[in-house]
Amino acid sequence: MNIPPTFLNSNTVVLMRGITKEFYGFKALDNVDFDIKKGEIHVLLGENGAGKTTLVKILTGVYLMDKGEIYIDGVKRDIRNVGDAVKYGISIVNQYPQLIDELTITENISLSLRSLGIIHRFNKIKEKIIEYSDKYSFKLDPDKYVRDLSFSERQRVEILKAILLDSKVIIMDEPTTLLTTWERKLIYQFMKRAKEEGRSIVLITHKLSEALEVADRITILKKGRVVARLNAEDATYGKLMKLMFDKIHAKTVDRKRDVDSRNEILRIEDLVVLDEYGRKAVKNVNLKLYSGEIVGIAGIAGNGQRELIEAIYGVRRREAGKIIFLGRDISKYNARELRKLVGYIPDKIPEAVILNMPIYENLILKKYDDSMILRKKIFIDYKSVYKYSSSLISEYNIAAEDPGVDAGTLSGGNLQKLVLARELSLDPPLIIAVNPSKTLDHFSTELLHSTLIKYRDRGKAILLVSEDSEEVMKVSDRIMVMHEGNLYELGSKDEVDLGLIEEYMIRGGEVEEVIKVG
Amino acid sequence: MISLDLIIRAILAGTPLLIASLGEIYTERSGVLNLGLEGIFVLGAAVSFVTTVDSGNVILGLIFAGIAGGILGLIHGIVSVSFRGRQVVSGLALTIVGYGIASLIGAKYVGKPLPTYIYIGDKWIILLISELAIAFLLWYLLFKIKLGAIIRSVGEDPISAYGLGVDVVKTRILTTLFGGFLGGLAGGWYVLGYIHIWTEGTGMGRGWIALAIVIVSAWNPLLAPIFSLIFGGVEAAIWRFQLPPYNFNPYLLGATPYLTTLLILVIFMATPLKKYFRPPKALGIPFYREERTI
Amino acid sequence: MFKIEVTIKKRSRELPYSGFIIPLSSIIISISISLIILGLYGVDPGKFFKVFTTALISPSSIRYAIPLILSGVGLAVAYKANVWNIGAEGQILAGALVASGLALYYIPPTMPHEAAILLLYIAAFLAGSLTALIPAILKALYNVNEVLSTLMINYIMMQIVNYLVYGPWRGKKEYGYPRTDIFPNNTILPQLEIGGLKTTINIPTLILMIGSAIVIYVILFKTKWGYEIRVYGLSEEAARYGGLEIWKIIILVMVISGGLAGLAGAGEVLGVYKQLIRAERVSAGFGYTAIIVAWLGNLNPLGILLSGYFIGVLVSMGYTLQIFTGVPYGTVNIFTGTLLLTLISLDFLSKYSPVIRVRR
Ligand SMILES: Nc1ncnc2c1ncn2[C@@H]1O[C@H](COP(=O)(O)OP(=O)(O)OP(=O)(O)O)[C@@H](O)[C@H]1O
Ligand SMILES: [Mg+2]
Repeated sequence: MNIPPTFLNSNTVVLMRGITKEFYGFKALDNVDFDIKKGEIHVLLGENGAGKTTLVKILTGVYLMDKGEIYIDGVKRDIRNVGDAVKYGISIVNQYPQLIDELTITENISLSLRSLGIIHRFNKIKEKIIEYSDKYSFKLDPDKYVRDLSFSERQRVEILKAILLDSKVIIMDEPTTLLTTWERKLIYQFMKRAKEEGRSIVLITHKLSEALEVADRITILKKGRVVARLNAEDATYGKLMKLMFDKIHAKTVDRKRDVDSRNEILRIEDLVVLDEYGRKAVKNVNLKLYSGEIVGIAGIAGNGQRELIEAIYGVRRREAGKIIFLGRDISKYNARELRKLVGYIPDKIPEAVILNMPIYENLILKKYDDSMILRKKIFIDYKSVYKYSSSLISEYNIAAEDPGVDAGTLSGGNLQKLVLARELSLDPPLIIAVNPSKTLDHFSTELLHSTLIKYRDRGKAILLVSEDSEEVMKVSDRIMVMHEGNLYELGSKDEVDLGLIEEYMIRGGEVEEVIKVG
Repeated sequence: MISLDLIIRAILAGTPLLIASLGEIYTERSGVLNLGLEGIFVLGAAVSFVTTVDSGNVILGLIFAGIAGGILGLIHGIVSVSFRGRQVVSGLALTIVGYGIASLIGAKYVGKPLPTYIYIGDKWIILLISELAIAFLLWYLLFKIKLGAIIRSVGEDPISAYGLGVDVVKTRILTTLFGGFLGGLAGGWYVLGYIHIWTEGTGMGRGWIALAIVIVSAWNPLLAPIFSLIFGGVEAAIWRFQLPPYNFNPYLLGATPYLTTLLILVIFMATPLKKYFRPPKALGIPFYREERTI
Repeated sequence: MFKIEVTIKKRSRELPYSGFIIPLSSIIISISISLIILGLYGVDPGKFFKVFTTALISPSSIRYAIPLILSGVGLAVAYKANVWNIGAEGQILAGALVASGLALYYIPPTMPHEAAILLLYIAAFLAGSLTALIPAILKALYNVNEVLSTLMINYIMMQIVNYLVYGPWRGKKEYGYPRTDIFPNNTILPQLEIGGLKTTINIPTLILMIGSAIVIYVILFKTKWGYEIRVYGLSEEAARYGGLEIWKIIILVMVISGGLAGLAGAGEVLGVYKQLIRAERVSAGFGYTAIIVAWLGNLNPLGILLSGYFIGVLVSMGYTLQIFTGVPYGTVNIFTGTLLLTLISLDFLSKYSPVIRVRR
C-alpha cells in the first residue's frame, strides 16, 4: 500500500496531491493539494477563474489532470472517467446542471446508475425517485422532461442523482447562486442531512457569508494555487476577503442621475413572444426605458426573460405588440443597424464570440462594415484592425498574448471583457446585459457594475436582466420582475426591498392579491 | 392502376430502403451523420453478389454484405468520432471508397448469373409483417429502455451525457457500426432479395434516399416503414410506366425518385409539419470531453 | 505490466506548417493503403509507380485539373460558410447542358468567336448558379438540408442530360450514338498546343481557373464578404446575433459555387468533347472529386491550385491503369476516398495534441 506521507488522518476520504492542469498552455491548476474528511462540509473558495470547477471536474473524472495523484480512502486510484469517480462514491452537482433536455428525469438519472443494465425498463428506478423526492421534499415528477424544468428543479435532479448513487462525497458547484430564499433553504437542509448521514460535502461558492455559515473547513484557491486552508472557527469575513483578492475592491460609483434630460429610448407595448415549442413565453408585456437609467428585470431563468430580450434585440420574432426603439418600430431597422445601436452582453458566450476566430476578428464583428475599417468600401484593412484590437485589449485589460490568438483560448472572465470591450466601443444608446455577473467573482462584479453605472451616467439606457435579485437591487434605478411571461413593475429602487423581489420571482402576480387582501 | 402487383413491388423495393434507414436512424440518434451510407449500400450490393456467386449461399451473401458495411461504418466512427473529422466529409469519402471497392471486387463478376437468391413470391405478407415487427422493436429499444436513453443522450447533449457517466465515444462508434452493418445488409438484400442481378453501379443513389427517409421519418423507427413504402412505390411505378401502354421515357422517369425525395423534403420543411422534425441537437457535432461549457 | 495510454488535448494554436505537413503525409499514407489493396488484386506496384510518374507530367493531368480546380474553388467558398454544397456534379452538368444547347441551336454561325465564347461562359455560369440557387433558397427559407437537396438535383440533372442525348438532341451525324452533333466552330474553345501537338487543355478555361482562384482568395480573406462568410461558417449563432444577413450569405456562396462549376461544365463540352455526351461521361464524377480537391487544398483557393493538379494526376492515372492493368477506373476512387479519410483524420493532429503516457 502506498500511503502518502501527508495522509494524516484516517478520517480523510479523498486526498488530491500536486494536481496540475493546463488549458491551451494556461495553468488552470498548479500543484494543488486538497483533501476531504468524512462527514464534513468543505468549502472551496476563490475568485472567478481560480480553478475551483476545474479541480472538482478532475476529481469527478470529467477532465484529466496533467500531473498529480488522487487517493481514495488511503489508496491511490486512477480516475479516468466519470464512471471511475462514481465507482469510488464521488458525484457532483454542477454549476450549470448538466442534464439532457430531451430526456425525462427518470431517463437522465438512470444514465448515471451503473447498476442498471442497458435493458432496464425504468419501472423500479421510477419508484425510487418518487420515494427519495418525497423524503427530501424535492417535488419532482419523474416523467417530466428536463426541458420543462426550472433551474432549481434541474439542480434537485442532480442532487437526487447523487443520493441514488449513494455517494459518500457530494460536490456542489455554486448551488445557491441562482436560487430564491426558499430553494436555498432546501439546499442547506439537504447538506445538513447528508452530513448527518456521514457523507462529505464539497461546497463551491462565491458567497462568503454562506461559507462562514455552513463550513467546517475552508480552502481558498487563487489563480490555480491553494493560498489558504483553515478551519471555520478561524475564519472571518475580512480575513477571507483579504485571502481571496489582491486588491481591496472598488467602491460602488456614486449615482448621479440626470433626471431632467430623460428621453424615451425603448417602449414596448403589449408584446407577445413565443418560445421554441410554440408556447407563449412573453405575455402582453409593457415596458418603457429612458436614457440615463438602469432598469433591472429580476426573474428565475425560464420565465420569458430570454424571449423578451431576444425580441428586443431582433433575433426572435414577435407574435404581437410593438417595440419602439428611439422612436421607430424595430422592424424598421435592418438587422445590422439595430445591432450597432444595441449593445448586448449575453450570458452565453457563443452568442457573442466566435471561439475559433482570432481575437482581432472577433472585435470587429459589429464594425467590419464600417467605413473606418474598409478600404474602397469592400476591403477590410486588417493592419488597422490589428492596431485597433491591440488598443482595446490594453484598455480593457484582456489577458491575451496577442490579438492573433483564437478567442477560444481566453479564460471565461477575459471572454466577457472582450464582449464588453466590443459592445461599449460602439457607444450604443442601449445596453442589454443578461446575468452579467453570473460567472464573476466579487471583485470583477464590482468592476462590471461600476462600468455599467458610469455608462448610464453618460445618458445611456441599460436593461439589466438577472437571476440574481441582489444584483438587480444593487444597480437598478427601477426594478421589475418577470414571472411566467408577465412583467411586474415593482417601483424605484427606494420603494422595493429584496424580500418583495423574491416573492414576485417565486409567485408572480399572486403576491398582489395577497397584498390587496392584507 | 394501383394493383396488388404494384403494392407488392413497392414492398419489395422498399425493404432495402427500410433496412438502411433503420440503421441510420440509430446512427443519427447518437449524433453521427453517416453520408457513407450510400457507399456502404453499394458495397453491400457488390459483396453479397460476389459472395453468393462464389458460395451459392444467400445467407452468407447477406452476412458478408453486413460485415463489409459494418467495417465502413466503423471507419466512419473512428474518423469522425475518435478523430473528430468533419462527419460530412468523412461520410462522402467513405461513399467514394465504397464505390471504388465495389467496382474493384465486382469487376470480374459482371454478367455472371446468381446461382440462388431470396425468393419472396406470395410470402410478401410475411415480409411486411416482419418489417413492421422489426421497426417496432427498434422503436421500443430506442424509447423504452435504458439503451435507448443512452443513445439519445449522446445525440442530444454529449457533454452532459458524459458528465452523467455515459461513454460517448463508445456509444457513437457502436451505433455507427450498427448503422453500417444494416446499410451493408440492405445493399445485399437489394441484390439478393429484389433485383437479382449486379453490374457496376448497382444500388447507387439508394443510400441517399435512405438518408432522406431518416429525415422525413423524424428519426423515428415507427415512421420509417411508411416512407420506405412510398419510395418503394415510386420505384415500382417507374417500372410500370416504362411498359406499354404507358411507354414513358425511362430517363425522365428515372429522375422521379429524386424529384419525389426533394419534394417530400420541401413539403415537410416548408409547412407546419416542420414542428415534428427536430433533429438530434448534437447531430454532426464532434465531442471533446474537455470542451468549455460556457 | 506496462500500460500505454493516449489522451488528447486541444492545442491553443494549430500545429505549425500543418497546412503542408498534413496533406503531404495523407498523400503518402493513402498511396500506401491503395497499393496494398491493389496489390491484393495482383497489380504490380512497379507498374503503378510508372503510370503515376507518367501521369505527373502528362498534359491530360492538367486537362482534368481544370474542371476539378474550378469546381473545387467554388466548393471551398461554400464550405467556408459551412454550407454543404454536394451539388457540383449537377452544376457542372447544368453548365454543360446550357452551353451545348446554345452552341447547337441558338448561336448563329456568323457570330464572332470571342463574342460567342463570352456569351456561352456567362450562360454556363448562370446555369450553374441557378441550379445551386434552388437548394440555396430552400435552405435559406425552410432550412431544407442542402446535402440532400443538392445530391437529388445531381441525379435529376443527370437524367435530364441523358434524356436529351438519347432523345431530342441526339446527333444526326453520330450514327445513333447517344451524343449531340459536333458544335459549330465559332463556339469551340481553342486548345493548347505543345510542340505542335494539340492537347485537350483549353486555354480560356485554364485562364478562368487561375483567375477565379486568385479572385476567390481575395474575396475570402480580404473583403467584408469573406469575413461574413467565415463568421457564418464558424458560428451560425454569432452570425445571427451579430446581425449578419444569413440568407444572403447562403445565396451568395451557393451562387459563386454553382457558377464556377457551371464554367467547368462549359469548359468540358466546349473545350474537350466539342459535343454533349452522356452525363456519366461529361462530368465523370468530377463534381464529387472536386470535394476532395477543396478539402485537400485546405479550403484555400491557392492550395486548391496544387491539390487540384495532384488529383488531376490521379484521375489521369486511373484511366491509364484501366488500359494497362485492366483494373476498373472506379478503383481510383479507393485512392481518392482514402486520401480524404486520412486527411481529415490527420487534421486532428493539427488541432489536438496526443499525450502518451506509459504507466505501471
Ligand atoms: N474546458 C476548458 N477549456 C478551456 N479553458 C478552460 C476550460 N475550463 C476552464 N478553463 C479555464 O480555466 C480557468 C479556471 O476555470 P474554472 O472554471 O475552474 O474556474 P472557477 O474557479 O470555477 O471559476 P468560477 O467561479 O467562474 O466558476 C479559467 O481561466 C477558465 O477559463
Ligand atoms: Mg466554476
